[in-house]
Amino acid sequence: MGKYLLRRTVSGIVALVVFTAGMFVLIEVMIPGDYFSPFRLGMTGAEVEALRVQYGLDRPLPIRYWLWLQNFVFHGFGQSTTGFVRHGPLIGSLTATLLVFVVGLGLAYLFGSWLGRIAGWTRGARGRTLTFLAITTYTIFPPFLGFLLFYFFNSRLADLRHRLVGASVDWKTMDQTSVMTRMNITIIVATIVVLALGALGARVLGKRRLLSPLGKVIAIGVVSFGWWTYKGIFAYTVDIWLEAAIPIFAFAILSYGDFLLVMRTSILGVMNDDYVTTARAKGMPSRVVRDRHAGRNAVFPVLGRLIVSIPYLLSGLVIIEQSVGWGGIGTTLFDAVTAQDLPLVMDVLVLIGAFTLVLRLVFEVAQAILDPRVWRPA
Amino acid sequence: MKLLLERLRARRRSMGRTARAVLGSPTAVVGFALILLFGLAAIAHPILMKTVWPAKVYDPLIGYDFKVLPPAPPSSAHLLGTDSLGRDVMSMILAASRSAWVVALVAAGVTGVLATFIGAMGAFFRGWIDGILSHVSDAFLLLPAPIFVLIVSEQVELSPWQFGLVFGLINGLGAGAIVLRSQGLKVMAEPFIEAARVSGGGGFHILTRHLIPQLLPLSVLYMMLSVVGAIVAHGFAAFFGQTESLVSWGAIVFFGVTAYRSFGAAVPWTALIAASAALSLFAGSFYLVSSGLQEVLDPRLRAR
Repeated sequence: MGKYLLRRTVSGIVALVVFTAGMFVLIEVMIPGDYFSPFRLGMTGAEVEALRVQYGLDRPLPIRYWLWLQNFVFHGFGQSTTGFVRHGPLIGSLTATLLVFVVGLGLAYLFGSWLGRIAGWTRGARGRTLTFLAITTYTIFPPFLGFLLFYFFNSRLADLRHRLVGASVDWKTMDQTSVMTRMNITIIVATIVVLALGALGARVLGKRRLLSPLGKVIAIGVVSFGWWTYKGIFAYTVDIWLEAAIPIFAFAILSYGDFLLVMRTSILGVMNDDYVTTARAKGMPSRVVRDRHAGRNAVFPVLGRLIVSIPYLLSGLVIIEQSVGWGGIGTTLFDAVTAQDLPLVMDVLVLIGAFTLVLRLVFEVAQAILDPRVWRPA
Repeated sequence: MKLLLERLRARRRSMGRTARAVLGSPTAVVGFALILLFGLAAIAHPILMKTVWPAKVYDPLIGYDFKVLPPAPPSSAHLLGTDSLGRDVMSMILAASRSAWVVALVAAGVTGVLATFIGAMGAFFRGWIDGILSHVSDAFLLLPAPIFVLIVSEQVELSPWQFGLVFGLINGLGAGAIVLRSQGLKVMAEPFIEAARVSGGGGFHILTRHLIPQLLPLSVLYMMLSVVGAIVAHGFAAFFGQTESLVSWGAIVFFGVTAYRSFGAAVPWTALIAASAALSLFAGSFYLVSSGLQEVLDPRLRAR
């Protein structure tokens, strides 16, 4: 398995380099102007020309890309032409995106695969209603969804924030990004701990499983909030949760349909397999057969689909962020594009690409653990 | 001659079977009906403008009705009311279907052709050609097509044609090519390819007569799915005023939301809901047809 993962990592890095080259060329070809166009109003043509020569912008495209790649590898994100964003804030926006992405995707996956199992398993009106609902939310227009949530919940959430934590939260003494970073780390660590302890405990006690998925979610929540209370940032996290609620729900609503539809298809594919018939013939309750027998086997296509659709989930998130005004990577990207800040656009695109790659690798590890056929030679 | 007739008849029979199977799936039928409806909408708008609707009141861009206060609720004169700028919502929705159609068709066509071609090439030649092609596809997979089109359209005003073209390019080179390549690999392992080789079929013959026809159903399916992404991305670009087409569903939502947020005007609910619903239904109809087709192509999925 180590060899398989190494191969995937190397091919991922190759893909990232090809990706940056492609983006570099496409941005040069499709977007007018270069790094110095934003300054052209304050300078004479000769000055701009001199700067362009000084910075090597008069050289041919492949050499410019090579220089960019060199500088990126050795010096990191570099400078932005508008000067208001450096990689500190860039990492901050990535943190904000990560929070919404992790929590929203978790919610979407749990609900989507649960409803998908029901939709595939039940014939007739209930299954069809669920499918119809999924298609509706799958194709809903994100800005409209963002507007609806904003219109109905924004002032209420602001009220709630004021009442719950208004007095105890002072953002002047606390850095929002660092709180969000800690929240991300806590959630991820808590998830791993709960899953590992659950598996271990189940083995020790000799049970099939210790906690239901819902129980696991509750356990993760209790562990995380307990840790935050212990660390004394409880009120700050509540403030951030209430602020992040709209993007998280919008993202979850937008992406759960995908999981539901794939899960439904996958269940339909396995529900007439022999082991399902056997389980039924043994007299197992229908729900147990659905969740333990068919559902377990139907999860592979869902995971595979997850790997393929990461870019689409991310683009959905970018669109949501921009339409509800959540200061994540998507908002940064659009600000940079509007300001013609091409270095920053490249930086954000590289971040999105790297983020996608890392996620893909994580899901591929999960897939390899669950399904050894992926990496074992036939 | 006789052989040719026989062949034609066989093809018609098999096409008839496919058509019946597709029409037997309720999802596909609903999808087709919706697509037909939007086709009618695109045709109906110029006719209505010429016959029933006076241009001064009903023009989708600059029409204004002095008899009602914008945004007006639905009435007999304005079936869906007017938006914050006093324009008739019904007329705007109908007029906007044309740019949506252009985006959808161009994006689907470019995606389908590129993805089928590249996927077939990779699966057929294998070796270093496949290596290069699949690495390029992998790289394009890192970039979601909607985001890239949005970046471009923020800088360059794209007409619906160009929008569809750029979207199709990214989508076809990336995800589409990967999906079709893996199907192509499956097809190339089938015994009938071996049989064609043994009976003396050359590479070109196998590629055009066996591999590509076998890929076509999946590529049609993928084209349908890519329409969903293209329409939503176009709507979003229009929502930020970044496309050439001022008359589009996204722009209608944009005007409504901006009027409320920036100027505190009343929310033009009919315009917002109708435009978003039109956009979702148009995208959804292609999704429905594709899932109906999928059921026909993969009999395991038919609910028994």
